[in-house]
Amino acid sequence: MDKRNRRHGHDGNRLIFWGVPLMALVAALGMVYLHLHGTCTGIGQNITRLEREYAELRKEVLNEEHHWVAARYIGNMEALLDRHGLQMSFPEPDQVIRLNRQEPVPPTQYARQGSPI
Amino acid sequence: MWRVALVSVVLLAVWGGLSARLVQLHLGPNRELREGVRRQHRIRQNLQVGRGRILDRNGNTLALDLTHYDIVVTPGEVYSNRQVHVFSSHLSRTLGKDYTEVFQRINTPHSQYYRLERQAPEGLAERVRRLQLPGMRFDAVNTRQYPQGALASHLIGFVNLEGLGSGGTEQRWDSLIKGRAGFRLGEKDGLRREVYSRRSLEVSPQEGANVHLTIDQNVQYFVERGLDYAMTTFHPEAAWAIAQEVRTGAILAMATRPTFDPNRYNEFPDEARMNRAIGYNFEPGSIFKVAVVAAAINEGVVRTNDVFDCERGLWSYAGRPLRDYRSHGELDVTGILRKSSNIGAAKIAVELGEDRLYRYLREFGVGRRTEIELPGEEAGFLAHPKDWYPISITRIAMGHQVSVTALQMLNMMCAIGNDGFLMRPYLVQRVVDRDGVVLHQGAPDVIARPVTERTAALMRTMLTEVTRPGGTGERAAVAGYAVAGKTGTAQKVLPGGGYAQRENVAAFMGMLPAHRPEIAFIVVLDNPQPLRTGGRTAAEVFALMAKPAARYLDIQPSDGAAARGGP
Repeated sequence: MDKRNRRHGHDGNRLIFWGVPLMALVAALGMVYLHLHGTCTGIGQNITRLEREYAELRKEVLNEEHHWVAARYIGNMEALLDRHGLQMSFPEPDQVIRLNRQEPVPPTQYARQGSPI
Repeated sequence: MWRVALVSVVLLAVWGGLSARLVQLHLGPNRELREGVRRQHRIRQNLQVGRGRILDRNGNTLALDLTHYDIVVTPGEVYSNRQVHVFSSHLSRTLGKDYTEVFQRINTPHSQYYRLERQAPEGLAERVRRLQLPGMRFDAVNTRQYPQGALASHLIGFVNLEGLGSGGTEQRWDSLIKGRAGFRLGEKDGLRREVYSRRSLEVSPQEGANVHLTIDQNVQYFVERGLDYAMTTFHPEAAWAIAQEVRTGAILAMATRPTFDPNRYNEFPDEARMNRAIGYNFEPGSIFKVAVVAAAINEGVVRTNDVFDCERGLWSYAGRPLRDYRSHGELDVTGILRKSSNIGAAKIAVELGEDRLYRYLREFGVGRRTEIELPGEEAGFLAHPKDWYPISITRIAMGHQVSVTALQMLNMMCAIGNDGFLMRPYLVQRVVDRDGVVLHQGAPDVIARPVTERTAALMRTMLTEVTRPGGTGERAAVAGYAVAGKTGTAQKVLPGGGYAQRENVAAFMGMLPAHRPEIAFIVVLDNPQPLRTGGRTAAEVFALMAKPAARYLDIQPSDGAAARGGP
């Protein structure tokens, strides 16, 4: 009888010994899963938001580029000058001073020459 | 007690029924139902990246895709909110539309869709959005935009409502420019937002390739401005012009009047969309003498100082009279070009002979497409000598009984400027995809060498005389530069045959600086009035184009001996 009770007592301990950690593990895994799921959902939302933002910014960039291209177009510039009563033209050949290429050219990159500028 | 039992039984029955239905819905053969639910959650997003760009040689964008918005109203919703008046008033003011028209379209309680504005730009859509009116929707649409409007429209072409390139570069390179749209399949949540983790398939869009043209938008502008001047001053039915790099054959500019704005292409008639510079055959008139004289000099049949009797303006050949515009006595070959004598040119051609003349003209590319990368190019027409009439050789010498395109003529002129090398004209520098891979590379290409370097140099010297005082093309002179050029005034061919007496095609083609040409232009005016000659009309337009172009391109002026003053 004692022997049987000991065995029963031993079985009960084993259930607790394995059952509790198993449940704790399952709970931990569940928590990890929930955490990862939440994180992934958050990242997913972030990605979709960034994708939307990227698309919007791309649109804006293209719109600005369109404006810039139109503003730089010589026809529009002339129209603008005309509106303000201004006239511009290219200089006549005799108004252009041409420098001989053999003349020493001033350095354009002062930094390369160790200048403090 | 029995009541408790009854309630319990009922509850059990209800729960049991619900559970059974639940089990049936989830595990039973309800494919359609499940598919319906899935369909409700499914989302497909089209990923548009648009067509590639078209750029000029300096990287200035000539065509690009932008997102515009179709502004759509649900009239039923506006009506049910009793805001039709307010709504119509605000929208008509913001969009610049007629109030009555907007009111009538919105005041329809059963209508669910009215597109108030098609392809509104971002700024306009934003202004309407700020009104915060109910029942409005903004559908994003990809649209092709041409920031410079009508500039180079015949070269660029346009994109039709189906998104297909039509005309010009848009059509010729459509397969590479258009790219490929992508899409995304996934599921959405109850708030109709995409659930990222349920994204099941994503096919990335492939952006279209960029096409870099050889044209320079500023030179193009000078050319177009010159044509506008021609249209208002000389009143031609049409006008067209081309600028080309002499040494490479690269096209710097090409324009036609009447023209069209590719942003609003459907508002213009079909004839305005015709690129006459390559798609219109015409009898060239005296500009054709360049080829005839070059051939004769190259063959050693004549020398520059050989003298011909120009018969005081009337010469009979094969029983048919041939006239000069002005009568001349004896002229040397330079004088024949300078005064543009038909009789002199005809006599040179007769000395050269039919077969040799034909061979040289073919070598110069007459009657053959240049294969420029544009749709709609014509080949011109040059009959074989066996089909010529006895007088044909004298008529071809003055640019009749032969038809050409402006591009063919300019290319011929460039061969004279390029030491006799005939280059293939090309418009596309390169086509590059978004990864930087070059899909097509344009490069200078020699297609023939009809005349020697010496002949070409002699021709340039003689043609310089044309633009000096006393020459037919003196109005083409450009201050600081020696210009080699040739005028042409051809009688127009009547539809039923024969020639019109008072209708001409006036032309001028020239290049500068004459001693080592870098840039060449051709200007053609179809039936200018009241001035009708190439020397009085097209030559002046040439100077208007060449002067700013030479300054802008920083072409070195000719030395003082060679250059004379001009406008």
